[in-house]
Amino acid sequence: MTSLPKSTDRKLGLVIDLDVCVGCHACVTNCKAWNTSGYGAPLADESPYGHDPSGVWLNRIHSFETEQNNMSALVHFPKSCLHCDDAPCVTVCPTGASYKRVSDGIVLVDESKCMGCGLCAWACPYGAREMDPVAGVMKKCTLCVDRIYNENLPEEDREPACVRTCPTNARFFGDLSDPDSEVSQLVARRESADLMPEQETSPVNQYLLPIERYGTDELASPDFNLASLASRKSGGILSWVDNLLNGN
Amino acid sequence: MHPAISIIVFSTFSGVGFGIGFWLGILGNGNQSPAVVITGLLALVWASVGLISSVFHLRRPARAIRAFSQWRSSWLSREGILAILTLGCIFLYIVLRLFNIHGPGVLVLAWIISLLSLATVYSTAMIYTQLKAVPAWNTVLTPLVFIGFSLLGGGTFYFSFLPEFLSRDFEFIILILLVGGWVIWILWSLRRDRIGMGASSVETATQLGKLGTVKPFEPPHMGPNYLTREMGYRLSKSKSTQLRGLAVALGLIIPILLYCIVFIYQDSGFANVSRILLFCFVLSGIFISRWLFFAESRHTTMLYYRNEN
Repeated sequence: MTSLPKSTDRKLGLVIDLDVCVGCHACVTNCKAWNTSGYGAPLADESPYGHDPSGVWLNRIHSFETEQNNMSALVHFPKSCLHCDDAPCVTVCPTGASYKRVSDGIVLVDESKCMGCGLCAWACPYGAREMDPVAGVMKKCTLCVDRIYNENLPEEDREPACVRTCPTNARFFGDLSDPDSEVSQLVARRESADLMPEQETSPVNQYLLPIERYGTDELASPDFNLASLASRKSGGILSWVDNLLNGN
Repeated sequence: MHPAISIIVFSTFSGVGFGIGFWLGILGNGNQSPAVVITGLLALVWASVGLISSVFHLRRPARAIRAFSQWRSSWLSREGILAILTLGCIFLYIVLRLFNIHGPGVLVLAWIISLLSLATVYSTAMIYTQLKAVPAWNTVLTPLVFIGFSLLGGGTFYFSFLPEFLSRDFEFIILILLVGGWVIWILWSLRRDRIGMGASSVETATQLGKLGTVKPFEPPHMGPNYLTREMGYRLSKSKSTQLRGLAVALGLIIPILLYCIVFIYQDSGFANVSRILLFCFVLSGIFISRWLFFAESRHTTMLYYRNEN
């Protein structure tokens, strides 16, 4: 049934540190590698070596530029399914293929029921669902449901492929309903946010926001001039040596 | 949003078909059997063409039967069930009328057909209205547009092909539907221009607003993907204005002129041709407006991909 559960026993999800992500796409690549051979149909690629390559990815990295007081910053922004508590993609599904699990809160697609109408992808404000052009069914992040409970894997591998592979430790996986979990502690310690709260989806995944770098009063003042940092200041013995060597 | 032809044909044709069904329920009991049976069959054909067209939008059409299962939560599921119920009732009604069966039961059945037709068109509209991710659709005006055009398309069908069905009063109602339907559509379009991405913006999408102005810098891939193809359709302002003008000209202004001609040259061959042309023009206007309904509406996912201001 595509009605949402009233509550879930756990809220498994990701915490992504936007201050640490360097945009290397390792999580994207490992996600594709694992999920093309794991749960459900393979993630199709169309014309991978042709003029117009295109394919299904469950995790994509965007980059945004921010600007304030003439200071800009580049923020790499990984985006995958947020496993929302009020997931609009689930309730719109007419076939019963989309569902949210009561046991851990993971939003999944039963590919044997999906008729490929695409309405769930329209309902998701984040663009977390992509239609597989070959299998004709909707694909989405499974939170690596075939890894995290997989007793055939060594214990350290029982986490989503993106988290396992992140070389900078920008991604964390855990139970966000448990206040003592590592992810909940991170969220409590740092400033974190839901994406698009106005869409009222109650996302489980949390983003740790970059710490403000350029917010000091000195930089914010209109008199501040970056060039002054580079100008030569006179005075002292080094200045005397400098002037001597420059022949002044 | 990508204006997929299968969906535009679906909502336009099933809208007209259930519009014919609605008026059949209102007008059918007072009329002779042969015309009622033929009209009922035509309502079935129009609605079925629409519903069959929607199947072409599915990637796994063989599983379409499952779409009737989730009526508790899904408007698409409700739409499917209501459509089949309405078609079934229309079929039953024309069979009863074919055998000249009358009575209170048949009368009630006709009313049920009208109610079910309205409910079906309403649930078609709700498939789109419910999507907060497309702020242009997420308004009470969307079901009003769908219902308005359905009643207009269905009503005009009688005006053009079965004028003997209509009393003078009903011919006047067609004029009200014509003006009313397009006024609602113009209100919808004006709201669309104002609403943009609604309460969503690149700042709410990324939550990076405290770092200053936020601009998309690099998309995840060089080329397009499913999301940009499906939700990134963009129509230039000038093209949008032209097509809106065309929709109003074909769907409203020319039909009003034809309507006047029908009443000036009553019952002449000229008037009869004008009646038929009126339906064709109204239908083409509705079709263009439905194309614009998709092509002009923007999806919040694109906030992650490009500057949407």
